[in-house]
Amino acid sequence: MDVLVCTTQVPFMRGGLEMMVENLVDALVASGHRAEAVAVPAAWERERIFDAPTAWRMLPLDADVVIPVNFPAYYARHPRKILWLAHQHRAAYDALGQPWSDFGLDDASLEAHRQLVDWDSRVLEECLARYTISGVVAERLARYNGLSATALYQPPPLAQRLRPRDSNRKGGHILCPTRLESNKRPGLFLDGLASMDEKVDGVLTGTGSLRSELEKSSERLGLEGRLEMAGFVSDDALVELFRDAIAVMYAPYDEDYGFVTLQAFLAGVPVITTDDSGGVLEWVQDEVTGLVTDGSPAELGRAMDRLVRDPQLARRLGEAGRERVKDLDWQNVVKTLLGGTLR
Amino acid sequence: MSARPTLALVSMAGQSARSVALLSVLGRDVDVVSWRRRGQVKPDAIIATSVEALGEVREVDVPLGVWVQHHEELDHALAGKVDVILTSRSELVARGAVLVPGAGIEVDRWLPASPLVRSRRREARGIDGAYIYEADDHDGGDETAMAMASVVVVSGPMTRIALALGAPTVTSEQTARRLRARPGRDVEVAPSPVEAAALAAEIALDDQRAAGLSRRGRRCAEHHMDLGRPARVIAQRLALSPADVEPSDIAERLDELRTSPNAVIRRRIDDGLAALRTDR
Repeated sequence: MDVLVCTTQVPFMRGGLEMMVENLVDALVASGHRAEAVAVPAAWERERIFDAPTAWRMLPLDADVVIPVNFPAYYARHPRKILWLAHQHRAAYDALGQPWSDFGLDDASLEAHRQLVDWDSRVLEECLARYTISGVVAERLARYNGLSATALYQPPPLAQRLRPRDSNRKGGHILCPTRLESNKRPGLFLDGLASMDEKVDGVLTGTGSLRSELEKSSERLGLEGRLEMAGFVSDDALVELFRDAIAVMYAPYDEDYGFVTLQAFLAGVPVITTDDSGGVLEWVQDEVTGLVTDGSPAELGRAMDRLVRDPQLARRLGEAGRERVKDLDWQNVVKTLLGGTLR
Repeated sequence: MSARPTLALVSMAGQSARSVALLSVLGRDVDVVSWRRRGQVKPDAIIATSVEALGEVREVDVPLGVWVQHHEELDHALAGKVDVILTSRSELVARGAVLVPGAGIEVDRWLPASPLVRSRRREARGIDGAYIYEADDHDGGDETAMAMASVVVVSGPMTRIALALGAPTVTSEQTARRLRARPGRDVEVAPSPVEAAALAAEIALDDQRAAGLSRRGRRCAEHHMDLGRPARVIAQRLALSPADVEPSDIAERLDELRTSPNAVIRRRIDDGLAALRTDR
């Protein structure tokens, strides 16, 4: 079968979505299909928000099946369109009212918003089947567009390489791998570390616009010598950091999915998060696969202390996490997505 | 003298009512006259309200449309080589008749708004929280209120407007049946005003249910109540709209998404394509 995975190009950026698309194309090819990604750039500001959707409606997509994964790629016009949704244009939905959303309360904004939601609903209705990358995304689709969808989970990047450490070796640090951007809330990691009684080391990996602000916070909170801000790290280094971690802290705001949680679990490491972290909570169950806090520095610090002081607890939660994710595989994703079209 | 085409209606006693809503839509672009009172006016096309009425205009050489109610009438109309057959019976569509809903409205005159957009409209007006609008049978309903309400409680003809506007709607069983709206899918039904109010309050608190009702209610209006699309088809077949203006692919795509004529994207496309026009 010839399959086109439709996505949005963000020039000079590479993140989780790009990896997901590459992995899906690879998995389709491994299953014997011909597959390629088709990417079209989009403008995000309100005045130009309908340009790329209109372009997608006009594109000739000569393939047996198309699989769009995000806005506005799901405007692809094809009789066999199967959605696997990572996200819509969040500025018009769950991020309304955030500083970066340009949908205001003036008449022009309200009309653009109305048209976008209406268009979205119409083109998403066209799909032969609707899947989302997580329950959170499916819930948003139901809440905002009145459309049902099924969550279809994927393994995270590096899944084949992440293994629990030798049971005789003790973990040495608390890890927070994330982009240093406000929606990922890396500052909570620093707050938690500073509130701990145990003076264990913390490693913050990733790059982003908050770096210098976080460096200042580290100094203010007295974390010098304890916190390593490692910046970008190679895959090899990241695998080692996961393996040697006592715990991973990951507390983004209302995350769509969150590869970090699954990577930690594959490494047999429990995850500390917050009760507003969205898709992360589909995996982190309090006292079962990790610890869920209210996000206050004191609670985060207490959770970290507990896992440092009680290696048995950390191991039990980590093992339960690994059990939760060990069966995720790409062949199942391909089989599910194309299942309806093969009948 | 008018540059607009003229459509004549030929009707038998008691039959003209079925054409009124359709003619009000067609009448935006054509002049409508009664065949019997046309005077010196030579119509560009004729619609007969029944096969029986068709007899009066057999010899007139202009495009002809006729209303039919059942298969036998449709056979008769086909034998008479009319240009378009109109019906309110969906079972006749497969045989080439154009479905003209009996209780139709021009659905695209009302822009649909989801519950999310409705909540933003309320916020813009300083209205906090949910807003349930109960339409009054006597004043006919306030469209502005229906366009921003969390839920509309309405029965009778105004229910069509509520559905076209994408309002999550609670109505009577009788209205739902008449409009072919599915209870629990396109609308919710309640047997009494008290129960309707309670149901509306429940829906206003349930985002997913409200979003589903809004979307499906609008689709119900588009599928079962719309006069705009049949009117365009009828006008084309009766040669009342310019035949040489073929819609461009891009315009078709925008129409497919029921894009408003005033939408910003239409202007942006015009601007974008202006440089490519050869007639500049």
